[in-house]
Amino acid sequence: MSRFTLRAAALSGLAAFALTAAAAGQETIAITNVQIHVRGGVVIENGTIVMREGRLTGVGADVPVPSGARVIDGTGKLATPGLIDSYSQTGLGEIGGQAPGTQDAGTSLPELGASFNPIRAVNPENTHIPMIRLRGVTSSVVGPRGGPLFDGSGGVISMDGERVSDMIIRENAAVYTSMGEQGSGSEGGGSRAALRMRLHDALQDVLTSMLDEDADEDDDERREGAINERNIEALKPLLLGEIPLVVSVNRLSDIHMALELQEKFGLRMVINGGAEAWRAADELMAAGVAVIVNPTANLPTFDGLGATMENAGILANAGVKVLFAGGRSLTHMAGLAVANGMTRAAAGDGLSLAAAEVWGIADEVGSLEEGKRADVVIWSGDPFELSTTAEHVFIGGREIPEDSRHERLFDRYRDLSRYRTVGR
Amino acid sequence: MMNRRVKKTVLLAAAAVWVGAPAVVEGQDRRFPDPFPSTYEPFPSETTLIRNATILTGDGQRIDGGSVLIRDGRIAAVGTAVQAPAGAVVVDGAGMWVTPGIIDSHSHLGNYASPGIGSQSDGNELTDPNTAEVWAEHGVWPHDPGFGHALAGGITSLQILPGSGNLFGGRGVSLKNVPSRTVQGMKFPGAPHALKMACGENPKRVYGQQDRSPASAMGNGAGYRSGWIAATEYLREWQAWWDAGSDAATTPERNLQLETLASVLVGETRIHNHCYRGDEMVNMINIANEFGYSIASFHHAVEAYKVRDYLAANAICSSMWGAGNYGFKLEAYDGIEENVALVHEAGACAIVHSDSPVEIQRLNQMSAVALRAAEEEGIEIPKEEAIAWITLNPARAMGVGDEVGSIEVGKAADLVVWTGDPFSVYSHAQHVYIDGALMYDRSAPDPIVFGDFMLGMDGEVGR
Repeated sequence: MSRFTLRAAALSGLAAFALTAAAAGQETIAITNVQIHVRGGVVIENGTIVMREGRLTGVGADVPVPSGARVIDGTGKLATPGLIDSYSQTGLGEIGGQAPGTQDAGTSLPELGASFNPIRAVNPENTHIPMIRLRGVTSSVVGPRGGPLFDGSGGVISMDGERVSDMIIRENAAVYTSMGEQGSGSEGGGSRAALRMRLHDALQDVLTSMLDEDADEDDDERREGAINERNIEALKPLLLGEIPLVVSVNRLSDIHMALELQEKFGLRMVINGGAEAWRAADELMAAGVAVIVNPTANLPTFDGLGATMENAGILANAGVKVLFAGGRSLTHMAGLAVANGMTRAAAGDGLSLAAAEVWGIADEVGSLEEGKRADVVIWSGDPFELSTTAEHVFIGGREIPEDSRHERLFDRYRDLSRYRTVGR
Repeated sequence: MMNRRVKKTVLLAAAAVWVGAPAVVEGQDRRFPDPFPSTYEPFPSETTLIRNATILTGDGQRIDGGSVLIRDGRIAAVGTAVQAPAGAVVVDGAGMWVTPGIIDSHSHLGNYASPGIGSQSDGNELTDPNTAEVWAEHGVWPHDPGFGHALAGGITSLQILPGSGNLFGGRGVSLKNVPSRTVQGMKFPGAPHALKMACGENPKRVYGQQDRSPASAMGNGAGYRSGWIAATEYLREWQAWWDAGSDAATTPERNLQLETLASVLVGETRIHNHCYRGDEMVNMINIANEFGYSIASFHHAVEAYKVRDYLAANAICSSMWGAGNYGFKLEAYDGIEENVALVHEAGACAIVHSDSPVEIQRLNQMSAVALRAAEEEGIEIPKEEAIAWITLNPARAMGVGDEVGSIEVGKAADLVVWTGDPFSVYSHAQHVYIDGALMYDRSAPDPIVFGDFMLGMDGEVGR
C-alpha cells in the first residue's frame, strides 16, 4: 500500500482509533521477526522489539509479545535506533531567503556569546520537522549559526513534541565556535592569530574566575576586553569537561591550532566540518576528538584544499568517532561515507550510539536497549541505500504519522482533473 | 575523428524534432554568427568493446548482458550479440552497468569556480536587469577543479548558464567535459546557444533594492516584454537587410544585447528560464507565445508538478532538483520530492539538474532520491526510463539530443561504466568515455586530470 492510499484511509476515519492511541505514545507495540541493529555493528537476527509507555521494554531474539500489543511484522525489514543528526538548525528556520522573521539560529548581540541558547526558539510546528523525521531522524542537535568568538550553546531535541520544553532531551550540551577562515573574519579580528589570542584569553578568564571563586569580589580586577559573566557561566562546563567545544574548522593548520587549545585547557572537543581532518586522524584519535563530517565535501577552498570524500573513512578507520549532519539527507550522507571507505558499523554508530555518547544523551537514546526511549525506525532495507524507505518511525513510542506539508501538497496535486474542470 | 559536416546535419534534425525550433547550425553558418566557434577535438580513442554489462540506453531500453562497441569515437553497435573486432580493447562489464554520459542542463562550473572566493564570482552580471549581451563562456575558467570532480561523477556534457539575478542573464554555453586550456576547446561543437532568463524573487530583489525596475513581479513581466519588443524591431531591421541582399555598405548597427534576443526569435538560441512557481511558468509561456519564441526548459521548476499538463502540451522541459529542495525561500516553499516523477508521469520532459558543483558529482544519486519518493507514493518508474532525466532529456533541452544522450548506433560514444546500479549510493563511475576516449578510469593512480589550480597542493588526493 502506498503512502498515498494509507493517508486516504486515515482521512476516511478508519484509522482514527489507532491514531488517537498512538498520539500519546502509550500504545504497546511489538515489532517481530525483524533484523535488529542494536547500534552500529551489533545485529540480532529475527528478533522482537517491544515498546510500552514510550520506552523499550524488550529487545532480543527471545522476547515474548505482550498480550494486547499492536504487532508489526518486521519480516525482511531492519530496525535501527532513531537516527541522531549531530548538527542542525532544526526548528530555527522556516524559510531561508527574504524571511528573516522566521530565522532564529543567530544573534546580532555580541555580548550574548556562548550564553546564546537558540534551542529555546525552536518552533515545534516548523514544517521541516515532519519531513525530516519521516526519514528516520528522531533527535537533532540544534546549534547556533555564526557569531563573533563563541557562536552560542547547543542542545539536543526530540523530533516530536508540542512544546519546546517537551522536545528538549538535553540543553546546554555543547558550546560552539568557529576557527580558520570563518572564525577569523572581520568579526574575529581579521587574522587567525587574533582569533587564537582571543580564544585563549577567554578560556583563561573562565579558568581564573573558577579558581578565584572564593576571592573577595571587590578585588576582582578584570582584564580589559574580558568576556562577561554570562559567557563565563556558559563556558564553565567546558573547562570542567562536562560538555564539548564544537569547533567549525577545516584547514590542517587550523585544526592544529584547535588541538593546541584543546590540550592547553583539557577540553572535550568536536570538530564540525574538518575538511582536512583526515590528515590529522591519529592526533584527533589520541586527543579523543570526534568529527562531524560532510561526506560530500571534496571541492577545494583555501580553508580546505585537501578536502576529500575519503575523509570520513580515513578518520573512522583510525578510530576517530565520526558523526553526521544532514536533516532529510542524513542517511544519504552516511551512505556516501560508506561508499568512500567507512565501515557500515562505524557509519551506523555515527548516526546512533557514538553520537549519543558525544552529546551526553546515551542513557536516553542512541541504541535499541531496554529502558531507553522508544525511538525506533523500521526500514524497508539497507538504511544507507537511496531506494530504502523508513516505513515506521517511532519517537518515544509514538508512531509518527505519514503527514507533512510535502504529503499534503502531493495529495492535492496527485490528480489534476479537478483543475481541468474549471477550465485551467 | 569526427566529421563535423555529418554532425551538423544530425543536429538539424534534433532541433526540429524536439521543440520545433528552426534549424540550428554552427559558427559562421548562423544568421547571427558565433564569432567564437568550438575548437574542440576528441581525444584519441581505441576501438573498445564493453561486454556483458547491464545497459540503460537512455532512450527507454534496458539490455541485460549487453555490449557496446566504440569505434572511431562513435557507438558502432549495441546489443546482446556484439562481437569484438580484431584488436579491440575488451572491457569485461560483469556486474557493471553502462549508461550514456551524464549531462547537466544547469551548471555554473567555471563561472563560480573553486576555490569560491570573491574573485571567482563570474556568473551574475548584476548591473542591469537586461544583460542579454554577456556570454557565460567569457567567464568560464577551464581550470576550475570542479570539472574534474564532475567527470568522476560521470558528467560528459554540461550547460553553463549565467545566474538568475537578471531578467535576461546572458548567453549560456554547452561544453564537453574535457581538460582544455581554453573554453573554446570545451565548447560542444554545433550546440545551440542558450539565453538565461529568470522569473520571480531574484531579479525583483536585486533591482528593487536599488530602487530600480523590476521591484515587483509586475516589473519583471514588463521587463521581459519590453526586451522582446526591442528585439522584434531589431530583427525586423536585420531581416530587411538580409532580404535586400546583405550589402556590406548598409549593414545595420550591431547591438549585442538585442542580437542575443533576436537570435532567440530566429531559433538559434534556446531559452532556459529559471522559474520556481507554476503560475509564473504559465505567465512565461504566455509571453513566449506573445512574441513567438519557445522555451526549451524551465529551471529549478519546483512547482512544475502543479502545471505539468501545460508543460507537456507545450513540450517544455523542466530541469529540477531530485530532492525537491523544499522551503529555502518562499517560491520554493511548495517543492516536493515527487516533482520529477509527476512531471515524468504526465509525459512531460523531466530533467534532474544540479545548479551546484557538489550535486553535479552525483546526479544519478539525486535521481535515485526522486525515484524513491515516487515509489513511496506508488508511482513506479523503471530505471531505464529514469536514466533519461540525466541523459537524453537534458541533451534534447540543450539541442544536442541527436548527438549525445543515448546509446544508439552513430551517436558520440559518451559513456559511463558504473561499478553497479547507478541509482545506488555505493556505485561509482569506473570508466567515463567522451567521444570514445577514456577520460576517467577510477583505477588509475591519479584518475582525475585537474586543471592547473590543484598543482602543488599538499592536500591533493584526487577524489
